Amino acid sequence: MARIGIPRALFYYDYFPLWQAFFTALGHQVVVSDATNKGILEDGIKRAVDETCLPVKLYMGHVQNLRGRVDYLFIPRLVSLEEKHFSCPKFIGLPDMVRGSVPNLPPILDVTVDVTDNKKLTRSSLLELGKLLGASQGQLGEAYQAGLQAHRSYRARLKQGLTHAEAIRGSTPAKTAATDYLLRVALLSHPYNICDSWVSNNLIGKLQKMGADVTTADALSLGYLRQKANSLSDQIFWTFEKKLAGAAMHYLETREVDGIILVMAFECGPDSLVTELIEREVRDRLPVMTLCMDEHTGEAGIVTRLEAFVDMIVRQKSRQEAAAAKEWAQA
Amino acid sequence: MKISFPHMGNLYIPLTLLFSSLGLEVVVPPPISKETMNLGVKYSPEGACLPFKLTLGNFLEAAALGADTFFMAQGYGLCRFGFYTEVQQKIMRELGYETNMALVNISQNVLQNLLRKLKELSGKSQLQVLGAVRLALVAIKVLDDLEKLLYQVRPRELRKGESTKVHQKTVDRLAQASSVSEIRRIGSEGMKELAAVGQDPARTPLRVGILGEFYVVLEPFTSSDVERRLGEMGVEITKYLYASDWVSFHMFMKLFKVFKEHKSAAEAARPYLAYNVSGDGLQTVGQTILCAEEGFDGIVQLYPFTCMPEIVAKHMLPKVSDDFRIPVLSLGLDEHSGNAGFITRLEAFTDLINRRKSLRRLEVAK
Ligand code: SF4
Ligand code: SF4
Repeated sequence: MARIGIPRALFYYDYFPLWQAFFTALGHQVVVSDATNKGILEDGIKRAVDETCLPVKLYMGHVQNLRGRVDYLFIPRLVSLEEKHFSCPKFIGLPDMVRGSVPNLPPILDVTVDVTDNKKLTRSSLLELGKLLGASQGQLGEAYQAGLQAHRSYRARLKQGLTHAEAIRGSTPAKTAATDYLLRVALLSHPYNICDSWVSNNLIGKLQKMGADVTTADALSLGYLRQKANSLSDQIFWTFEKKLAGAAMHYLETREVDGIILVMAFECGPDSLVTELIEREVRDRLPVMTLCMDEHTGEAGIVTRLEAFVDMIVRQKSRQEAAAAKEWAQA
Repeated sequence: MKISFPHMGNLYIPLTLLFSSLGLEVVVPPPISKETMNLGVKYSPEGACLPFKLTLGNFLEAAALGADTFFMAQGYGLCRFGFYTEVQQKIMRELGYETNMALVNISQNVLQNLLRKLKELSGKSQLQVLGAVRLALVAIKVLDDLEKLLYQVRPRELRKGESTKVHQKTVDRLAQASSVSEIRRIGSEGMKELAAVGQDPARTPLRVGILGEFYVVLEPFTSSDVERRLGEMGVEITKYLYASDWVSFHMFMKLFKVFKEHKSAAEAARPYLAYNVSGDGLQTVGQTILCAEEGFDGIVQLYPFTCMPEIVAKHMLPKVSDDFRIPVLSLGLDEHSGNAGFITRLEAFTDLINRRKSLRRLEVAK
């Protein structure tokens, strides 16, 4: 039995249940890095190239947090998860970036997924991984199924409105539709920006305290989001950003939320363009704001902006309600 | 319709030829200047990479001169570049410009897509369109050959700045040319004139490879003309990104040599970076190794700040530089670079590689 380390960063929030089920089914022990803390961030900053985005710096920190505790590190290379769509270049180079900049690491297990240029790669790199871990093809197949199963139920829990942390914990939705909120806000972002509460300064919690019901793009189905995104642009070839664009268009149409908050890392390449496009599309029709984060972003600044945004929406809403009440009284 | 396009080095010459020979009215954007930069920066998202801001600046300046259609590439595999126009178009529209984009998808089937777009724009026959493309390709090749020779002559010239002047004169003449034979003639005259520039045969210049992101390697404005400065400091530079190579690779794949060059760079990179990360990141890593093996004295990596593929490359370059004992200077470029500090870094770097070279010679002599 090997101990397999999974950094609690980047796509951890998208795929952890899948990976956990997969490795557990193969009889291995999965070790997750600690929740982000100051030390992890500092270690990451030390190793990553200065100009890179905060999420990658954090990833480097989480990798170091696992050093000495695991036999392998699992760092998949997610190149293209759907035809003609890609991840950001840093996802594509991730295992190499880690190898190149963090010394003294246990061996890295990487599985490459590139359905655009080489469909067979997923299978062959899984087989290679199996060989390394001493698993037969049959065992791999079963573990793979177990992984998919876990992933599907994870997605289902997200769609029921659980936060990522809750859904990863596996709690069944005790959540009945909240009714005691003042407003509904959609947080649109790569999950790693908003789910790591240390990094996001507990953004979700803060909004909830201000009386907001918070929802994310993961509460909507992926196929639907992809299709919706086309009404903004049919040229978005980044899988994750396409989801965000789809969600923005969905809320614009359905008015299910009172406002949209876009959260991105300062040096994020794909977001720098797609977020701009979304904001320009939305801003005349629905309250929207963009929060950019890096390691210097202070809590105070975020709180001020959140409060102003929430206040603005609440005031707008009460004006609208007053007008409606007046109309009703006069009718 | 008045068509325009972004600047990228001297590419405006073949592009102008391409469109005007098809009877289209062309607005060449003013040469990139501080103004272009300011305009681009003002209306671009803050986090956009430098080429986004400068190309937008070009569009805005050309639009002010009456351009209403912009020719640009689009598609996946080009990194953010492939998505620029979606955002730029929106920005232009919101500023009140009724401009359109003439986009060619270059993710696949580049030549077909280009021909189709040109036919659509000009209403000309396949034959005429092919003729125009050929004209442009000849000009691209001639310009690249001139540039390669310039890089050899410059560090050896006796009178500083002479090769630059001679080269520029030929470029200006090419900008006025209109037929294949004329371009070829001016080209070969220009090559002869460059070769005739007075040189010091005893000099053995330092050799530096210029690697990095396509746009900034091609557009000297972005790096305060790093290649001229290095040349005048006595450095012979070699570039690996040329429009003509790109064209033959992506449109024809026929120049086997180019094909191989890319491939072996990828192979050399494999122990450090095992996958194409889009843009030019893989080539930067692989070519650094190949240059080291060829005995280059150093590498200058040029990239726009926040450039994703080059930042990926930067994560392994220190290790590559150690393992292959080749100094690498990484220059991140944005609207603030090009100041005095920039030149100082360049000078320090050339000093460093100069010293290393003399040391090595001493060792060999012993
Ligand atoms: S998508 Fe953006 S934030 Fe995420 S790794 Fe890439 S550049 Fe960084
Ligand atoms: S390669 Fe770099 S500069 Fe070019 S589009 Fe990508 S991030 Fe921008």
